[in-house]
Amino acid sequence: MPDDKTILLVEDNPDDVALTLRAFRKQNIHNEIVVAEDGVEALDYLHGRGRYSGRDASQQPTIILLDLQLPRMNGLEFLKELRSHPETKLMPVIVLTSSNEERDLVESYSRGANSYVRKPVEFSEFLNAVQTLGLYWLLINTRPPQAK
Amino acid sequence: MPRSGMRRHRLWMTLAIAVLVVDVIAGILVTRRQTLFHAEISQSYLVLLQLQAILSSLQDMETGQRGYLLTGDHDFLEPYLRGRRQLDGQIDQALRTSRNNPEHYQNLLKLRAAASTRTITLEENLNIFEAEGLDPARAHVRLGYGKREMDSVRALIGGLIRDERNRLDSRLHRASHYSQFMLISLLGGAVAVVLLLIWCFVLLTRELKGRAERTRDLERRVEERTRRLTEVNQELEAFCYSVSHDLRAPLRSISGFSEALLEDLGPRLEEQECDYLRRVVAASKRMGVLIDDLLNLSRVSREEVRKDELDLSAEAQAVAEECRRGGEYDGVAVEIQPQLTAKGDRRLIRIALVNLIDNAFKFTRPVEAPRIQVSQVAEQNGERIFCVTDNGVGFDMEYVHKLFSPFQRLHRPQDFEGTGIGLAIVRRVVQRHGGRVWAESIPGQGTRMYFTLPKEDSIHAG
Repeated sequence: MPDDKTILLVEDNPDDVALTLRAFRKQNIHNEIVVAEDGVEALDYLHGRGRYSGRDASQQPTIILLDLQLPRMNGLEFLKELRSHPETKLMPVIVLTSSNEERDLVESYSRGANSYVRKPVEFSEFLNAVQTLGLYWLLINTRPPQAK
Repeated sequence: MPRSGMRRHRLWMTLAIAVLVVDVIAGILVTRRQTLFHAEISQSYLVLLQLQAILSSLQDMETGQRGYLLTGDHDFLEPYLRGRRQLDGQIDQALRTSRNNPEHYQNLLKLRAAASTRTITLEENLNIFEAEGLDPARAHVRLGYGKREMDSVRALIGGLIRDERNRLDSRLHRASHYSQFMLISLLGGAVAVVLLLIWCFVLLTRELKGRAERTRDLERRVEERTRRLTEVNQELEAFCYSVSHDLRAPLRSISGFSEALLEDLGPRLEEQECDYLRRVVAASKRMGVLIDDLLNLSRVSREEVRKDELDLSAEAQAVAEECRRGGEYDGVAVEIQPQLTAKGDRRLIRIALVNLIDNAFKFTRPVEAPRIQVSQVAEQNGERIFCVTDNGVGFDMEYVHKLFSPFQRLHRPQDFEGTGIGLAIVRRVVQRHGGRVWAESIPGQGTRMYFTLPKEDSIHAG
């Protein structure tokens, strides 16, 4: 698979990070994966500030994998921020969460999530999900034009 | 408080009515008594008139005779003749009037005798005058009988009039006293009734005010309780949310890293070591399902029940198709009665149907020609009875009471997977729609799961 497309993974649980990275590796998805532990850090990355000051903000990730339950700025708040900036408002966001509460679904979509995937307990099922995700979002889907 | 208040108020009301009744009865009695008094007073006046009439008749007779004797002119005799004509009748009338008063009656009899004597004497005078002329008649008068007789008559009548006057006075006196007394009593009664009614009104107003106060108090308490319940509900929701999220995360780690080990070390591990790791993975998966089921049970208890027009046939069809998606149940004959309708919450009913139909598929797995039916069996008392029938392994009716309680299983998990929460969820959903759920089964022949749903709006919130 082409590896010029970056994936931003917003996830605070190191176990989940490790498992997600493993799943991508197992599915032969070798894109660069940047991990942000919460919404604030993810925004810093996108806008090239804080820890990421000096980063070339014109190079933006192809997809964002977003957990909802996060410290400081949670996933829904991050989504709202993301959609309110012209440079980031079109970025594809896939919510990847344990929750299957209806209100989380509704809130995520109404704040502009592009997809909602519930993390299964079983790793093999998660592998399947990651494979499908990678195939669709990295290969099949045509990404929106990068904002200037 | 409210009961004793009502009782007190009723007591005063009763008292007011009692006083009013007594007052009215007294009024009636007084009126009758006064009529009696008036009759007595009228009688006294009548007696006095009669006595006057008797006296005036006797005086007429006397005057008439005197004129006649003086003039010899028959015209002057007219008053005498008139008095003579009337006297007996007048005395009889007076006797009749006074027949209830023995003393008066006796005196009247004496008067009659005296009047009769006087009449006889007058008649004798006339006879003498007509037969022998004026002088013998004068001589006869001069004897003085007539004057004495007339004096005696006057005295008798005077006595009688005096008696009757006295009687009349005392009667008038009594009547006036009596009416004064009764006026005061009746007025007093009326005032008492009015006062009692005012008091009742005061009590009633106070009672109503107290009741309104208590109602407001109750409303305040209901509000307070509702607020607390809402708080608790919100807390519970937050709790369930964090359970669903936080409890699954470590499970994912356990399962995920066990699988990673299995994959990475698989070829180097003993079969038993692999088996252990697989067990860890399987247990994590079971716990994941358990958490999901518990959350579902809690959700169907918490969520508001909406009232949608449901096409149960379509819902059941969709659920059955979903169950068959894996291809595992391709050999199962599914019959769903068309046009089954009910009123209820689409999402909740869907959850119930998923559990019922999934069970039916599960328990027909070992059967030769598996068959599942969804149908309406009856409609009565405003509810529809639906049934999910299968020809699966069934269960022993001895344990039917455990069927709908959470975590109760009638089969070994090795034979049929499941958490034992599914039918508890079904029961909760049906109960929240105001319906009932029950089961009939014969081991080895199949199971019939019945549930009712109201035809119209009678869905309970609880």
